[in-house]
Amino acid sequence: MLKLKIKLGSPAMVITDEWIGMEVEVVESSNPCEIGIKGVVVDETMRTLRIKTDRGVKVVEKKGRAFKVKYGRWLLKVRGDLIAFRPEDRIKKGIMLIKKSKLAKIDV
Amino acid sequence: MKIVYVDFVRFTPTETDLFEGYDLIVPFNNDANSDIKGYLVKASNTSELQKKLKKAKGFVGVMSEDLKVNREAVMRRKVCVILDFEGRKIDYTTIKMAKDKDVIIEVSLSKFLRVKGLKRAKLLDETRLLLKLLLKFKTPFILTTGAENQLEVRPRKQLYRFFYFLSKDGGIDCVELIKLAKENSNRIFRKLVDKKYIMDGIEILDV
Repeated sequence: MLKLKIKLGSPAMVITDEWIGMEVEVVESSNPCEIGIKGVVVDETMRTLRIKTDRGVKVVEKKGRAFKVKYGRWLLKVRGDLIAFRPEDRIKKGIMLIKKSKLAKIDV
Repeated sequence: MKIVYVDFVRFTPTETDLFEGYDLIVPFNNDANSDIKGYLVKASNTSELQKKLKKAKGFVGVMSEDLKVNREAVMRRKVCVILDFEGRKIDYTTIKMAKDKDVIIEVSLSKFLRVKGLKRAKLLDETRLLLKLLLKFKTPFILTTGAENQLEVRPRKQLYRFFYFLSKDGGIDCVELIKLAKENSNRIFRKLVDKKYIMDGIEILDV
């Protein structure tokens, strides 16, 4: 079995990390009304994120969207398809996705 | 978004003027001294493939005539691309697996230049079928010259035009084919060159 050393704190680990409490902004969406929704994630389900904005809590689907998120010292753009799992499953599934990805930069 | 064109060759190019229209040339030549190069693995059986893959690192390309070797190569995590040449054998199952494992299938032009007559006609038929399957499964693929020397290099426009008419002749959606080929070319460029690219779906906007 190939062992992969993923550096803790690497930007790729954002998909395995807890998103509740993170500041996010929707930057890409098939629904143009969702683009620009910015706030703090207050809850998360398998397919949606509940974002608390100035105008109240907005529910945004994960699939088909891209989010700008502040993770550590980086500002990242993350595709929602990579986090479209139950929060408790995301640790395992996220690591599997990182390991499956070819030429992923895991030691940044 | 700007489209970036990538070409795979089997020699170390000394004159870049010949590569008209390409933004990045990746030589699959283990002796090459360029910053960005591919690691070439040639194998005639699966045990030889496994031995050589242990030493391989970086952007790994596998070249083999054996169907079983290509199938095994697609399943390996280290392998990034299955390189094309006139003797390559690749089947339905391998193409389907390549989609799941995110392995790029190269479709090259230079193999047609090296054969003549009936062999070339057969090769054209096989390539048409391959393109049909690649489109059907949306397997990542790339259109390249696959040149083994400078005489086999062709400009990018000529390359794409050739595959456009080849696919049109075979009743394949040529516009979709070219569009996917360009998208895959962009992806490969970002994986190899872009420092802000982490993996598919994650990129750094700012530090």
